[in-house]
Amino acid sequence: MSLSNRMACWGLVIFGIYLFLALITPVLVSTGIFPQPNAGIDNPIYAPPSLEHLCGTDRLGRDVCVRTLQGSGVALQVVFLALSLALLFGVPLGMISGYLGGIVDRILVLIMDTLYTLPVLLLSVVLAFLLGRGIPNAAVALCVVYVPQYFRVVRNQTAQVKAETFVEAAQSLGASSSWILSKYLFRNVVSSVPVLITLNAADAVLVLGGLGFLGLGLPENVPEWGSDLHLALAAVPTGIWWTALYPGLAMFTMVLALSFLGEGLEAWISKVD
Amino acid sequence: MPTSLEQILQIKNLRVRYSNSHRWTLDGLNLQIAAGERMALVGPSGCGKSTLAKAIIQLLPSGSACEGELLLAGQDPRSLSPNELRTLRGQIVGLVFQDPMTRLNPLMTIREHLLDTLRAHRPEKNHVWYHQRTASLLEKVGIGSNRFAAYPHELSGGMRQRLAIALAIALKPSLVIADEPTTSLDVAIANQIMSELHSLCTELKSALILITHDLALAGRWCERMAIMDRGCIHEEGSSFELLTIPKSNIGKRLLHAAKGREGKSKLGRSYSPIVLEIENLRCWHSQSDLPWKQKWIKAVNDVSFSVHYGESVGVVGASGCGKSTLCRALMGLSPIRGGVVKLESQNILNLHGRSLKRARQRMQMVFQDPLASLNPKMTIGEAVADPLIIHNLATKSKAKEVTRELLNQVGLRPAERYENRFPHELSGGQLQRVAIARALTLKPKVLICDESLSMLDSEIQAEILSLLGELQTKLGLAILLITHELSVASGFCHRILVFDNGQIVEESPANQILHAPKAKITQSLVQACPMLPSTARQKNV
Repeated sequence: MSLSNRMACWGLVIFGIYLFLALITPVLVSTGIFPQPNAGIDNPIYAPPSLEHLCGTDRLGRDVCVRTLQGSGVALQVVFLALSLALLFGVPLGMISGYLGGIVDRILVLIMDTLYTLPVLLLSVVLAFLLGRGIPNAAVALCVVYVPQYFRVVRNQTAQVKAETFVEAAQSLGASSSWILSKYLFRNVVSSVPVLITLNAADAVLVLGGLGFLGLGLPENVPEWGSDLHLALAAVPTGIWWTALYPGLAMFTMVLALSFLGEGLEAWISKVD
Repeated sequence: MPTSLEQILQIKNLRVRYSNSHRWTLDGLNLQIAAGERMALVGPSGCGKSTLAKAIIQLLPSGSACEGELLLAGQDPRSLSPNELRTLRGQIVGLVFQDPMTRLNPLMTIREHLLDTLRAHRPEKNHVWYHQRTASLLEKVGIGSNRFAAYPHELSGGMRQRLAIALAIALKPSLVIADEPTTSLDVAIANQIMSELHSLCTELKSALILITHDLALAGRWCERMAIMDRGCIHEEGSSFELLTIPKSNIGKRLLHAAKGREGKSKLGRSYSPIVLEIENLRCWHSQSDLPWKQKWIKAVNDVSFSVHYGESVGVVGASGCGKSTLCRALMGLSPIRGGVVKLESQNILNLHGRSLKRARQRMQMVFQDPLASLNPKMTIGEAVADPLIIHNLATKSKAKEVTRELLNQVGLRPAERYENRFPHELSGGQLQRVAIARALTLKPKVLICDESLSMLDSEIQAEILSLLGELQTKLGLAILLITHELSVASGFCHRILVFDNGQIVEESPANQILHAPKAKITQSLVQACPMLPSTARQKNV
């Protein structure tokens, strides 16, 4: 088994575990096996890991374990939503721009390149600030960051494939532009998109964490790794490590899994092509 | 080395296998070539011709196995050190490849290419000698001194092949191997290139191995011929003998195919109504962006002709004469500046929108490169059914039925075996059949074939031609066959139009054009066109 295959396998396994946890945690919380993530009144503050609280409690007495597990679900939701939106806008825009060319293409490329020049975090911070808090709002803020990437890849690929003889052959058969785009170009252009999705997903997890860390993005009552890390930061010098370690570790592992998956996928797709 | 003076190349029982393959690509091959001899190596594609060339100069990819006896000028190239091998490659064997562009360095000028070769192999000579030798070599292959500083991309295909020949003969090798040297060139240029190669080899007393799939070409330029198939030589002898009475099965098959490709001249057709009428068609491309300073390239200029139902018309001409622009313009892929195109007495240039779309259904095109003209991500079945779906002519299940019928009709039987495959899984000939099936889906009245045969080897060409002929009689198709090979056009078509500089310079029945060409360009095309002996004799009579 080659290295890239092994990476893809590990990435897939870890990602599967996250998905499973994200699905099972709300069930366990609602049946009362796990404590509520926001309930901390009755608990001791900054309790170290014990049998009662597996990963300890934080400054407000909330269970770190449940919050970390819930956080994975939140992160996956936001990232999924953001990337779906980015795909929904980026891919068709890129195809239209690449296929039509001319003035439409130039204007779209200009807009997208302008967006592309802005630092990711800066752009998403400004957007998150403007849009306010909430899962859909955070997803939109992230989506705007990623649209230009899909646009670029798809547009360049389309412009390249457009010049192939089979597109001309389709034109000579009387196919309309929309038919050529959907039947002839789409399937030849999308092959590079899955890799971009997985790599962007890893990136998006980090940006979402960054937004949370800065107090933007998601509402306060939603357990999120970034905001938990922000809370934990003040206590780290006093030797309270568990509040920072578990959310941090969760974020790190998820990014790692998604990156592995992306690298593996890239190797696989280039082999298939 | 007593024998090496006579035998420049001796091969006995040579076997070659590539590292990733289980099959021996060359299997027990025997071949001898005497000094100064010209030998043609012919065979269908995939028979191992090019592998043999690579084996002779040991350019096989690493990991390949090469067994048997191989003596080149008395030496076994396998026993040589890399340095000696390099000397051998330039000084004893010169190579001319099919596509010279990929073998030339895009950052080096013509002169630098030659200087580089000379310097590497004759380090003892001085600067003046290099330059004199370069100039004389380029002059010999017909490249003028004004082009010495040109880069490969600035040259035409013919010029590039001339440079490749100059490089191959630069060190006066005793053996020149030409691997399909003219396949990517048009007939007139190919003929020039071959005659130059021929006379240079005579002058240098070099032996020549000409690798080709074109029997007529081989017969014209080489006195001896060897027919190869599945990695060994099946028949060897004088070209004339092989082209008149071949003994081996493969020889008979190839000759039959080559004859089928040349076809029998058809007589003029009895009268049938006109399906396509073109009057004063002009396709001009503007060369400048400024509307007040127009400079036009007249790719097609004032062309008028008509095509009858069930008739095939050949459009012949050297490359760049405007024949491709003509069919692109007819298909609506290239703008038309003026004129009339009447399809079933309806001028399609006046039509717009839906009625234009409907009118165009009656005219379909088969492209040159079958693989490139099919969507790689669409199965064969989808590709053939697509026109029906585009024009909303059938439901999915009905389209599938029609597709199977069409695939059967073009000889891809049983259709179920092909419809779910992707283009890259089929051979070139099969793909061209698929392209024809797709063009027939809309039941056209006119079929335009733009060099649809030139990417296929001659055996497949003959098959496709007979398929087209069959379809023509069955469906009453009018066929417009665009080609640069006069022999193919004259065998298949009823009438031939000769194009030059965007205009029709000659129009005559196909059976007359070979015997009594009128226009100058036609005469040169007939001259250049290699013919099989039997037909050639007829021509001389």
